[in-house]
Amino acid sequence: MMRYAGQALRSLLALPTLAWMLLFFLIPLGLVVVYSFATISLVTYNISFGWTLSNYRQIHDPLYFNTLTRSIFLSISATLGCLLLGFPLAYFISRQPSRWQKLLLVLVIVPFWTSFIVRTYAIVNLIDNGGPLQHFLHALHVLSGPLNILYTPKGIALGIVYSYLPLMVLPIYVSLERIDYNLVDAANDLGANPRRTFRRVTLPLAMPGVVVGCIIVGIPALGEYVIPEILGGGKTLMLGNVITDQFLSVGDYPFGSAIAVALMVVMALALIVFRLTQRRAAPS
Amino acid sequence: MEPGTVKLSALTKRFGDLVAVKSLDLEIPAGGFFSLIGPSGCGKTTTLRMVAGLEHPDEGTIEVGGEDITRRPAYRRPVNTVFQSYALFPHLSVADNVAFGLVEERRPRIEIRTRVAEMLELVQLVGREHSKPAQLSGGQQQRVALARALVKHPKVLLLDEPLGALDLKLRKELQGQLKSVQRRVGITFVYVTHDQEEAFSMSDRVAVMHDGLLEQVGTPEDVYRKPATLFTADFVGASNRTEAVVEAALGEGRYRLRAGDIGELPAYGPERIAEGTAVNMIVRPESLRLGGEGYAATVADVSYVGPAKHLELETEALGRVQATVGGDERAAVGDRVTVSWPAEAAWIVAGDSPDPPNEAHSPTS
Amino acid sequence: MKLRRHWFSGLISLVVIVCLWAPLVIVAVNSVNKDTLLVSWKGFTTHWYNQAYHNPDVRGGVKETMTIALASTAISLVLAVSGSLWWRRAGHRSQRMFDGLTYLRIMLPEVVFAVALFLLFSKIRFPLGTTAVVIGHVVWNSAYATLIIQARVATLDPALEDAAADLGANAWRVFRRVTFPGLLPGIVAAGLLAFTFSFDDVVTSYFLVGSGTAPLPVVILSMIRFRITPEINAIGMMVMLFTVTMFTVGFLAVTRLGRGARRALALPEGRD
Repeated sequence: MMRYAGQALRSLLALPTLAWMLLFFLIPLGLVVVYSFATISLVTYNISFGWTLSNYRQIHDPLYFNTLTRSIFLSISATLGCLLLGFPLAYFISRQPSRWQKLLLVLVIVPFWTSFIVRTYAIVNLIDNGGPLQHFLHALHVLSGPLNILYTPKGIALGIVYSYLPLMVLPIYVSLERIDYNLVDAANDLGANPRRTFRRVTLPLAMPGVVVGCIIVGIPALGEYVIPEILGGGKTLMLGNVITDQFLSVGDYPFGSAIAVALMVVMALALIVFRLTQRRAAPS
Repeated sequence: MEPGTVKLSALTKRFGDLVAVKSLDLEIPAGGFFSLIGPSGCGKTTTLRMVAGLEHPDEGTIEVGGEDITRRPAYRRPVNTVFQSYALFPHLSVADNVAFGLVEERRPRIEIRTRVAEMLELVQLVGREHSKPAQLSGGQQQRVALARALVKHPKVLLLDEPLGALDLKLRKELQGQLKSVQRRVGITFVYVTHDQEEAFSMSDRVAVMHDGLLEQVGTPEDVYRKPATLFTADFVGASNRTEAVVEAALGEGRYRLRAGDIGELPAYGPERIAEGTAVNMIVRPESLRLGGEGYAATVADVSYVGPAKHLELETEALGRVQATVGGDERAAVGDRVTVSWPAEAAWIVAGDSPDPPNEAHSPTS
Repeated sequence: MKLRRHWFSGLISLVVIVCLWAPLVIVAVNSVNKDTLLVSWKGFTTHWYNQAYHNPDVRGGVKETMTIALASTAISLVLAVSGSLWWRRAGHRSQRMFDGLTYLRIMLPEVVFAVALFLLFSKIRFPLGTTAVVIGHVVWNSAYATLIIQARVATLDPALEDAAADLGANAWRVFRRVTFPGLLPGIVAAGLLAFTFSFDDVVTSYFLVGSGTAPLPVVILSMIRFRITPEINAIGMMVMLFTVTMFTVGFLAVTRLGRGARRALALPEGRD
């Protein structure tokens, strides 16, 4: 029946993606969950698939639990840092005439287009003891003595902010750009307090962009590997590093899987929290 | 059977709960200009697309030139379409657009070039072979769409409201061109539009659709002067309407009616309406005459449109009545006039029964 | 430039933009700096570029990365085009599930993908190496490609495909003569983006390359670990120039996708 041939053919189009994702995404993820309940003998490397929670209990070990909390803390800090720096930047750009907007956006985006790993490496140079940032802060008399943020969580936070900043700027810019500033300026000219106008008009309208920015910075930051690897100096400071370490160095697949599952759970919770706040924030 | 005839039998199409086309039976004769008209949502476009093969009917069959093509995919039907948005391929030149179907037929290049040139001449677009659609005006794009469909020598050409996006003057011009092209080429044109005037001016025959059903099929004059249903009567023109009862059938389509307050009225209608039947009677505004013997009326409103004047008359016997008279006829608000109409202008619409008597309903509308 | 009114945000903007570019400038400068310890400027040299150019790990890395990027881009595009064309005519529930699958792949940290595939390959004893890396890249790369091509598909006029069928083209011919040309800008943009993401990738490549030739970013990673400076600066500079160029061309292709696509991607529209 020719009528249904077309429909069957069309369903076939979904097959490549679905097959690939089933084989190489969904099933592997399932494997991770299964492994997280297994145990391994670190002597014989024999894995026995039971349904034990021992791996999850091991996460409560301060060594690993600290990494979990540190990852969450760093993600939140970096998100806040991106917000504090990114919002004024997005606001400034959105208030410029069109030509300048494009130029400024290019200036913000192009660093993002350089290689991620090179960009992270560039930070090493910058924040190293004896590096340019230290010199700069000495010159401003803000700091004396060694900088000591390389290979510390502070350095990692800085690295995340540096790498992810454009991801915060863009959505906020998009939200702000839609605001008709003629109305805001008119209100201000007529005597409205500019700060109040900002708080009661500009800010709420920028909120959707802020939320998007926080999500696309905060959530991936939780699972960062490269930045803490390079800026953390080989110490397993974030979840991504612990997982990699467990898999590629220690060989404890079950435990590594458990941490990976923990990471996914934290991410899912963060997403749910965000969606709830979004729904409560504005019914627009 | 002539190659260009189209026969739809019990054609039905459902979209979820909505039945867009309800068991349609329609025969379109070969070689003429046929229009399918009706309001938005009546199912005319869906019907057209089913003939083209772009929608699949749930029930029923479609025959073209005697062949059942219901199961055939669009690309194997001897039918081509001119789309409402023209659907010209933006990345191809005018010539390549027109040649598209011929390339699919694997015609030799020389033949393609010749036929494309002929067709461009027919639609008066010689010299524009290498332009891209975006560089053409709306009217020119429409002609490319026409050429592209015609060059394949289909048995039937389907046109889906192709003139909708054009301004009035251009539309009238293209209507004339379409009609003359159809005469020259001689194939069946099936034209879908909601514009009754447009359809009437171009077509040999017209079908009125409403809510997925066929209301009436006939020549434009038949449909206008002898509507079978109230819907058709209202769709193709304005009318004054009253309810009446058939008092006597006088044979050959003549009747004597009795209408409530008005008394006896002569009228014409379809044959074999039984005495005692409750019917609706209509008189078109342009059939009303002012002056002479008739019903007393006061002019309540005047609209001057140039060649004509639309009057609203308030009468005692008939209530509110609409009349259309010549533009130079003297009539001003407040004038007392008499209004009448020839018996031949009174037509009985037998297709629907009137509202039940105890419902409040003004005798004329 | 309106500076006076927004001096506060302007100041912060200036500082931020300088800070965004400073590290890159430093890498650029150090890539030609004679000083091996990089504490001060000791003169111009192309020595590091020379060294990088002749470094066998680097050369192997570039070849490997190119191979992986080309393969993963090609496969990702096939998945993206087929998936997007299916999505267009699919029911609402199917569309939502497909979208969920796409967004999940974008949001999930790469380390989870890598680990999951690592487990799969180790369980079925599939050898790690170039093929494994390509498979891994396609999983998340196709998500980005799908988004871009979905946006482009949304701008396609379905009447064009109706017209092509009406004129005698079967499904394949419609795709070849009408749909594909219409999709081309999106395919180019998605291809360039996917290529660059694959080229630049560290985590998946690191996990799945096993003992095979390391792709360039993994080479860079180990060089950073062992602090083999300043050759890294030269390599980094070349890589940066390459990726910036690719992204720029891809961006230009995206801005030519038309207003419909831009709106779908929520990119800013120019006020011209």
